[in-house]
Amino acid sequence: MMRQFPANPDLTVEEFELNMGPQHPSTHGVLRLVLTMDGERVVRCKPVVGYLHRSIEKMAENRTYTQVIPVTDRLDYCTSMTSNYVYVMAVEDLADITAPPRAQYIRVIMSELNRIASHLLWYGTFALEVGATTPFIYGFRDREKVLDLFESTCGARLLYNYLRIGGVSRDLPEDFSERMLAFLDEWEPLIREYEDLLDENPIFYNRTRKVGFLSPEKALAYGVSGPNLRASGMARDVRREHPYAVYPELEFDIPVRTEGDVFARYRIRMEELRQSARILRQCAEKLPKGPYLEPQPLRMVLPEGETYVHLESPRGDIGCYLVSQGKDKPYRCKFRTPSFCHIEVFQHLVRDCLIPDIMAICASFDVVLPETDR
Amino acid sequence: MEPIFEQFIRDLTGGFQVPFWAPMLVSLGLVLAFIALNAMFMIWLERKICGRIQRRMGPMLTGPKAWARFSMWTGGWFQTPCDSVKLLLKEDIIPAQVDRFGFMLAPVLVFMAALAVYVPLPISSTSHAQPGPIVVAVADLDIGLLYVVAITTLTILAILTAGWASNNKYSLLGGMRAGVQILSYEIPMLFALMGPMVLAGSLSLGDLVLVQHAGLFGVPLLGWFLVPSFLGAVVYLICAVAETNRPPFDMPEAEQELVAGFSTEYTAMRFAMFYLAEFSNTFVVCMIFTAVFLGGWTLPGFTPPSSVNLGFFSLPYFDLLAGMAIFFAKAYAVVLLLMWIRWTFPRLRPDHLMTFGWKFLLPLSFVNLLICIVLAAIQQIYFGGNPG
Repeated sequence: MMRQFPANPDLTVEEFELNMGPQHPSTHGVLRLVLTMDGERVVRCKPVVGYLHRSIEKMAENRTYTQVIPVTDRLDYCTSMTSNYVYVMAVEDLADITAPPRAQYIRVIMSELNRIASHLLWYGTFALEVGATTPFIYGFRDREKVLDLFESTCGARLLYNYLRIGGVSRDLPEDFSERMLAFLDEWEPLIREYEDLLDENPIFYNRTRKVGFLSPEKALAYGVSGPNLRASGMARDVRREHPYAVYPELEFDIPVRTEGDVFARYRIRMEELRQSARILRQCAEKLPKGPYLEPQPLRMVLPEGETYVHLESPRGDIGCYLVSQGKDKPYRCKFRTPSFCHIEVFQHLVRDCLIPDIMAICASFDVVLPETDR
Repeated sequence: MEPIFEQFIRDLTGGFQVPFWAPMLVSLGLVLAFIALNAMFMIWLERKICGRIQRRMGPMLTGPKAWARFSMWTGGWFQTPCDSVKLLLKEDIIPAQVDRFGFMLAPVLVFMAALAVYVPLPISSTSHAQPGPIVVAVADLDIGLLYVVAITTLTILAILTAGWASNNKYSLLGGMRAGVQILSYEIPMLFALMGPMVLAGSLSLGDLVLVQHAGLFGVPLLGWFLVPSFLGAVVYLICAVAETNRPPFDMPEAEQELVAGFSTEYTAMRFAMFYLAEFSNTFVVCMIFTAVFLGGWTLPGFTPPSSVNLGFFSLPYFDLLAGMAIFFAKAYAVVLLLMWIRWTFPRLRPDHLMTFGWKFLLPLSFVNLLICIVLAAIQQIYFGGNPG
């Protein structure tokens, strides 16, 4: 759109297109934003996804039920455990298998540890996006300790491939509970340290308050879930609403804030770190003895039928729709991923913002691209 | 510089009269060497400080292994020399679509400004074989302070040229941001510096230091303009950080937003010149802060002798050396403060930056000027004239 410069009619002002990404330091991998800019101000924003498409859903159709598990690791590499979990849960639902209680507890422990790891990663990158370099290292320092726990359990630090249909691939190491509790004791006071780095800082406060406001109506309309939804005042959490595994037996709060801005989304995640620690302490206490796996045939055949299950990943409501036609491979395996919805709504929030706000808002949604593109 | 240099050569050679151009060439060489070596050291120091703040050690692998084993502060000494060599040897790429003239001119321009600003900076003084204390600077200009402020503003031209000529939208945005930012912060900065100007009644940086040494109201400790012009010092420091595009005011090259801002398309030596100029400018603002607010090369109530007798030989120019040591110690203290700020704060947003500069810093610098005028008037009436 061309318009004339008020002071001098001979001059015209024109909007320009800025192609941010897919190669850009802060588009979290390969998100491409086609921005129509009026100087520093964003007029329109069009997100383009698909640069990381690996056809995971199609690949799943050509693999046996067990072989799909390592593929789900690649769904959202920041929280492989919950991606594993949602798929395993769908298969178990269809085959009518119940994992032994110890396995259920181990799964919850892993999910919550992964939530901590994922939120710490988010904390670091989010701070980096608003221009503070130091919190990044703090987040990563403590994430390492969580990854050490994972490594001692399943041998992997990023892509775990740990959950199995009917349980988990191996039992926890003997001293796992002690080490986990030692980590929690050491780490919980450090949450305060993370907050000290950002909370009281006027620059950070001004950059995040009243920026990227997401109304609860809009959030629901676009299918926003997880911490982002809870920051908009909706106390929705799959762990509470459709409890799975042993969550009904555990006590935890669901932090909610009503501001719906970037700062609220940041605060929600900081609170969730504390709640995860609380859940982990209870799990360590209640962890039952017994088998950790109800072995299934390697090439298992599922009865005909379809199912949809979902659970609460660190990013939100992740779902798996599984259709079986009585064969040893899924007929259709569809994942409902939270980041896809978040990118969808994100383009409406950045309108009339400045370039730095795009980064703050984008980062505050905790968008992970491999999950979006699949 | 000239009288001392001539005196020095005469002492050394026994009466050789140096040609008039020799001091200039020697100063140019000294300043160039200083910029390069000091920037290398500062980059190393910055990475170490940053590492310390972030609970890591910074570069440790280049350099003698034995030093690295000793402590984190002795490791990685060769990192920046290695990086410099790497930048020198890298391919110089001029993208096809750029405006070649502007693209090639910008790094030279920015470096020229960084070089020229050293001229009036006084680093020490000596009274060795001189009638009175002589200020050691390339040239102690009568309008030194004005000159410094004017020259540092030249950087805008270079950055705007770089942003425009690069034919890249990120560069353009970065260049425009830099232009707006430097222009807006120039004004509170100048007003903040006017406080000391009024107090000293002089624009020469050398005079400013000597006045501070003499003290205010006859009290030497009050003399550092940091005390009477405290608000001015704070405003100047903030503006100085903004002028040199250091975080948290690094909007022009905000990595997370504009990739690398105005220097996005630059590679190898051209990029290194921007980088070098940035670190040089950072040190220059610290030097100006030292000279204007921290009493330069002097310490209250301390006048080093012009030469010391060590028994077996006598060390001439001792006051010059002691002054330089004091001056650089102070300047590096300010550098450390800037590094601390850099690695602690998030980045400002451009519109907040403008609000902060125009609505907060500018009024504050006026208040400071007012305070300084009152103090200068008291000094004038009750203590008789400017101390200098």
